[in-house]
Amino acid sequence: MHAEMAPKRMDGSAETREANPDIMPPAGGEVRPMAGDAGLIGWAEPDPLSPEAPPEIGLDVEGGSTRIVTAAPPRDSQGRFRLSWSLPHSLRDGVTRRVRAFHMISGRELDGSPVTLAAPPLPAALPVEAPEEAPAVGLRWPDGLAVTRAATGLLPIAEGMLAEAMAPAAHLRSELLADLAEGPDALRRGVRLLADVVAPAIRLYLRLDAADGPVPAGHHMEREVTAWLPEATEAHVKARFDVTLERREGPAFHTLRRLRRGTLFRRPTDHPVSFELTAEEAALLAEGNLWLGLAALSAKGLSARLPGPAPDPLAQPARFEDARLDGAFAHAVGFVRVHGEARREAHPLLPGLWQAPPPLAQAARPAAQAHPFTQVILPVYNGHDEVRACLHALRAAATGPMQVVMVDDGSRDFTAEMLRAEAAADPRFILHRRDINRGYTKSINEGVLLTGADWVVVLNSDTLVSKGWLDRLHAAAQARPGTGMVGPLSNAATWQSIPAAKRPDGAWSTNALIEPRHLERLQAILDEVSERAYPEFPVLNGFCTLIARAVFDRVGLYDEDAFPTGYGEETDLCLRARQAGFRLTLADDCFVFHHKSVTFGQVERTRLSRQGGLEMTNKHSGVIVPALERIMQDCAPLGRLRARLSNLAAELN
Amino acid sequence: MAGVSFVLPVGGGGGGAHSVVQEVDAMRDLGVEARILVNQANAPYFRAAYDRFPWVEDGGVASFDGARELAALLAETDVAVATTNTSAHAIADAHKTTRGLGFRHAYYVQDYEPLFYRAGSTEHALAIASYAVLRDCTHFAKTRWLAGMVEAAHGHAAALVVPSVDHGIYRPVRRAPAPARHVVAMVRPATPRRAPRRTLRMLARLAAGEFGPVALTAFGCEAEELAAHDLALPDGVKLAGRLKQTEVAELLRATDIFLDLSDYQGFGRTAAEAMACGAVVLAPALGGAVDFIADGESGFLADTTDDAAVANAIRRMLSLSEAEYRRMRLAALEAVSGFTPVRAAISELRALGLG
Repeated sequence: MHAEMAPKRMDGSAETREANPDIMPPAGGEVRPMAGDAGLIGWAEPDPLSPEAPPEIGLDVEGGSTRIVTAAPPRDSQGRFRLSWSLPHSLRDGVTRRVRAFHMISGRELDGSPVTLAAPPLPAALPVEAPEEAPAVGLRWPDGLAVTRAATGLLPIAEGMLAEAMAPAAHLRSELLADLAEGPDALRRGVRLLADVVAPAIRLYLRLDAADGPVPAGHHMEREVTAWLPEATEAHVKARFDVTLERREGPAFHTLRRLRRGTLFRRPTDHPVSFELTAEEAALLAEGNLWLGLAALSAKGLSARLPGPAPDPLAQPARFEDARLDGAFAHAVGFVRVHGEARREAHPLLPGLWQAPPPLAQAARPAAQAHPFTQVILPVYNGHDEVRACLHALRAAATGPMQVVMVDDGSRDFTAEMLRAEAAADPRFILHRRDINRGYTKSINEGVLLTGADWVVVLNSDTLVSKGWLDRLHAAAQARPGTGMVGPLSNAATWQSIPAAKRPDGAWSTNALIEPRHLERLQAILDEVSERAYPEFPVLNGFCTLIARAVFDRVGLYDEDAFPTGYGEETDLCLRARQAGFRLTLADDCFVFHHKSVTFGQVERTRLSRQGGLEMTNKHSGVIVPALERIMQDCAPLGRLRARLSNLAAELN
Repeated sequence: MAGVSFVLPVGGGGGGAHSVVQEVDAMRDLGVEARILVNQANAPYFRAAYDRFPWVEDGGVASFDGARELAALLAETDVAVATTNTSAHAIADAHKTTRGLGFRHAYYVQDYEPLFYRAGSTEHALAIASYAVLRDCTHFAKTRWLAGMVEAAHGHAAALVVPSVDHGIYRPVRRAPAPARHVVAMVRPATPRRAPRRTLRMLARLAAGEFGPVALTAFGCEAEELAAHDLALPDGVKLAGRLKQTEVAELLRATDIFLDLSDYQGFGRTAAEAMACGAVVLAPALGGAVDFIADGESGFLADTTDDAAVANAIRRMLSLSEAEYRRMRLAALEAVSGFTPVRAAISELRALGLG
């Protein structure tokens, strides 16, 4: 370490790291006006952890935007980098401005800040200078990618991005939304704002940048605005939505005009805006003070992708004169696949409009008769005894190449130790441990990302599998080409339950007559009586599902945003897979026992179940769940099997 | 008798509104307490458009301003019938304002409205959601294509009801022989799915004599609308402008060949009305017109997205001998002769479990 790089104390005195390594004062620096008040100069200390990297300084210009300036060599005797910034021509208007300078790593305000600048205006004959290049909107998140703050006034979220929530909201949480998946439902970079209560308005302000330099009055601008509500508070939730042009005036924004009014839903919708700049707006754009305002009215939150240029409408050749019809018919095809047959390649109602279903997945088989290599994702959270029994059953049932990825979501009892012991005893069992419980859906997504096999099974840890279970699941996939997901029968798996799906009171049956000790006997009965019809189901229960990697490649992972704790994440994935053209097949010759143990108490389960239902209703508006249930209820092979098992209690005992 | 309220938040004048009005008229003649609920902003226009029906000013039309007022009106009814995607949402919103509303829901699907909008838009989302917001809803539609779309895409069994045409004005008349066939087409510049550019393109080819001598008339817009959409009427085509319902009927009674070159048609009302006047029609093969047009027998169907297919169909139409033309004209008249408001009303009452 160079002696001259020693960080300063707050009082300015120097202290070496060697003298007291626990004390590391934040990096800072100093600034002062340059001659003629036309800018500022100074010195900025590097980050002590990256002493050779030139530091970045944020300049908050009064009445304007925040700019990021990178200091540069030469360095002074203390190892500080030189900082220099000139007022852009757009701000050389004779107005006195205060500029505050902050170190971007430490957040510390530099000595001498704020600096007052009052440069005289430039002669009118001078050409207009291109605006200083500012970092792209949403590129820097100095206050963190997810933060909750008191909802008092304008809150800086990221570079060129501010938010506010009207009273009675007391707190506002902001989160970066990053790329989560490919495909039409993928979330591009965006922001999610969520208040503690419903507010009259949740507002997001996004600075508009002149990408190609100054533009004249009358310049035409188009922006593709995609926005949605971050939480389903009711079935078919919706809220009013305004898109405005704004000018920042100190601590507040002034609305220049409203560009459009629309409706927000839980599902993203597009709100394209197209406008021509007035002379005032063109000037504001040049100085970096023209903002797009997005407001959700009478809402608890607002999510939006960062607006981009409108897509080229001629990018895809349209079949119809009404170019919207191609996309609208394609959307209808997705619904037809969900409510009908996923793999269908034509439909009399939609001649010539059918998108090809995905190609058939052909997994490599290592040896004759063996099923393809399969990785079993086993999310675990406590439940020591049932989990151990599940692991032992998996080991005993294996007939081909498989690996079990145990994702321990922060178990707090003896489960963690037991999992370590199991992983140490059998190389086919891999432990992925997280110390903090982050929720079921994140667990299984992590599991999916950890695996690479063509086929994975997402298996609840309160299950017991029987010998040859993977052979049977794969046989079902093979029997119906185009299958993306396979589910087995069980004692407690909603419509996949046997012998009864429901109890006389209408609640889902857990078929208490079947006990863990009956597993092999019940499988033997099924081997004898199953038609092996492998019916196509519209959705599968998520307790045990064989899933082709191609499904995740095509439609993305489980939706952590809408279903963080489960309660709907598997149905959502099923619907997306069907919309993409994958079959969901029931292995009607395979039985997996399900303890149906509960992680949450009754009250919490009711709440989560209701929330999951609301999210499902909103995310898949237009999918009629009772219609899907009718398909499963009317499944003839399953009906015959249930009739055949009407005397199951006697057969088991 | 049960009360049936059709929620129709439009100003009137369109084909869908015509259907509802003439079917409500027939229901009232059958003794059913049927009425139409119009939002307040559209109510004056709606009443003016249908002032020839006495019941419009005599309790058969009520207006509402907002969900609460609609809920109050629906509290008096047995069945609330949505007629557009926005009206389905209006009924759902009415439910949210008032507890204990006991009426049943129905949805008269007059088109598959998600096709009206860009996928991903607010309007598209609302149109999709309209098939989910009404619980225990009875769906009915007037073509197999529409009923099939609702069932295939949303799992709702939709009853097939009889379409209605006002045969009082759409009827054949004796005409003097003319030296050339009179070809009529509707041009709607503001409605892209009605394919105004394709229609003008084919009218230009007809006007250039590619298919032989014809007299050409376009209607559905004014010249200013064409100019505003950067469209031009080909030389040799007469523009009849925007016409009232009775004026459309008068034009269609003087039509030999009617062209509907839309991208698709949920029903194809104007084609059906032209057939009721004795015209031979060309309609899109995609959609509901297949229910009442047997290609080459009672009219013609074509893949309208294919100019060559359209041109081929026009060539076939204009090469019909007099005897073939007369035979097809009679077949067309017969095909839509059953589309009466009374039959439509009876079929709807049966779909609602009231007939």
